Amino acid sequence: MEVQIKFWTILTFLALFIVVLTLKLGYMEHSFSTIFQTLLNSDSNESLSYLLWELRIPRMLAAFAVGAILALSGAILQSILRNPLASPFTLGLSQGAAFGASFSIIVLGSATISIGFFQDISLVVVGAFLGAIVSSLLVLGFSMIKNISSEGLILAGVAIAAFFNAATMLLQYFSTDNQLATAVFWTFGDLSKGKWTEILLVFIFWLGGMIFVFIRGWDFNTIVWGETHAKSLGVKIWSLRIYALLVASLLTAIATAFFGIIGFVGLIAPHIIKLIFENQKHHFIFFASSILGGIFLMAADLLAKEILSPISVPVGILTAFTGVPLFLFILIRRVMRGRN
Amino acid sequence: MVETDSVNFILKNKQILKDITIQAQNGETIAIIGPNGAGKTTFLKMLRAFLSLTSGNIYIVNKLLEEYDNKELSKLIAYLPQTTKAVACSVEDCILLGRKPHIKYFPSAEDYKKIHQIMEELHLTKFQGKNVLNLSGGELQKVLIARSLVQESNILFLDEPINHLDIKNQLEIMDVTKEMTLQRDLVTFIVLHDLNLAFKYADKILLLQNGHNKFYGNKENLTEDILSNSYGVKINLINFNGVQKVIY
Repeated sequence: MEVQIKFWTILTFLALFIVVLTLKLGYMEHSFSTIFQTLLNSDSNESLSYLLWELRIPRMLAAFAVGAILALSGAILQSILRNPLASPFTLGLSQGAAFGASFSIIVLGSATISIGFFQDISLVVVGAFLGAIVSSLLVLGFSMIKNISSEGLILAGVAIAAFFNAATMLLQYFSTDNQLATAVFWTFGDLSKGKWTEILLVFIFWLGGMIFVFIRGWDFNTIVWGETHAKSLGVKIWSLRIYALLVASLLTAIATAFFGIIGFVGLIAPHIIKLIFENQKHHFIFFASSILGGIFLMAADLLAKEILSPISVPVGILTAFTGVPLFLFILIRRVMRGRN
Repeated sequence: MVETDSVNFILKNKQILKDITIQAQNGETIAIIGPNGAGKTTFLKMLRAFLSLTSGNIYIVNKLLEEYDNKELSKLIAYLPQTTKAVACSVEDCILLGRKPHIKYFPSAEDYKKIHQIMEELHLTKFQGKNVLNLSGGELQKVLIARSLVQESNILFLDEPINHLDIKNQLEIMDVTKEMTLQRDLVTFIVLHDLNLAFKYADKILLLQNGHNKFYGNKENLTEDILSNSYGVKINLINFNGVQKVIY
């Protein structure tokens, strides 16, 4: 309990610190008092109000939502497949999205369509979403093979990722310079891509994912002990596996479609939580990983904006750079504790 | 009550179990013994419906096994597999998993009451908040037995629960299992390699060899010849203070 109090206190202060810095720092800097006055009364400084409400705040919220949703997706995948390497990346979902986006950019062009409430959605977003869904359906298909192990499923994911990578490269080979640049830039992952509607949608999906894991939390607590244990305790293994893969895929698909590929958040956040809290229930692991993932991406995005200011580096590049050493550090810690 | 009627199991043209017919009543402890590869674990898995039998019938509490769904069976049968790779969680949460068949979304106060009761009975309360990964082999096995007992099933299947444990822990786990079987009127099937423990604790013995039922019945009727033939080594039985002792 003491560790939990410390963890949430540090995380809250960190989040507040990042929020304050995100609002203040940028191409145009203002004093704290001007920023807070404008936040409370937008008429006092219209250009600053626009900067805050249309650029900085949405981007900050996007960072939190995307980080939270990717971390939740990664935590679900790691638990259901009982494999610490499981993530949207290792299962080929991100590569599927990249293929879908490249296909839209190179073959379909940059048209827009309207679906229901959503007007003028870029075909790139639709393509990326469908790409992630198709690759997740392939993973799902493999998961239905009787007696396939979680390791087998990860290997299937690696093969699917390689296939989509090859298909994307083929498309890019036949593209024009402009198309190639757009397709490559899309894969970088950038949080300024989305606006309020997209952010809201990501939050709604995140909420849906959280409800799912809270309802099925005890099934997750059980299945990590192995399929025989879980089955003897009454867990419907196949239904849990299929629903979990489906939910994790949808979570990744929505975030990737709107904001591009942002790696390592989904892999790292659950690992950090499991390192700090050794014997916690899955309800907690999912929630804490998600919040940590959100705050991690907020911090990464702030760094991405400031590190080469005035140039803003795509956050996907930064998460990979910070994520790799962090992941290796966690791995070494786990090995030293005799748990890999 | 557990009953099997001419149970056969064929896998890839190989007869794994042949014509096994047994009957076990409540309050009885049945030791399943036999050489390696005799089909002991397969038989238990079949009784728990983890494997589908090729022919024959299995009755659990007077109803055909296939008429139950997995959820119903999880309330009727607690099954502890041969190997368990422990997962980081507290002893309390680990035992709480035994209530899983009765939990819809979240455990109730009643569930917590029951796990605290079993922890007290098995002297596990002092480990309550401890990570199961930091327990010794014997302690972990006791926690897993507690988890099986808190499931409140009528039938208990334990597959080699005392492997790799020292003598003190072996006896402790067998004592607890026997006591609970009598106290709760359970039917307990326990796969054992130690024949002395089988004779000490079981009421009935099922001896399997190459999937064949070499003996099933009260332990008093199991002879040296049947044992020697099944294991392929000379086995002697001597009576020591009313309990059969095995010498080889």
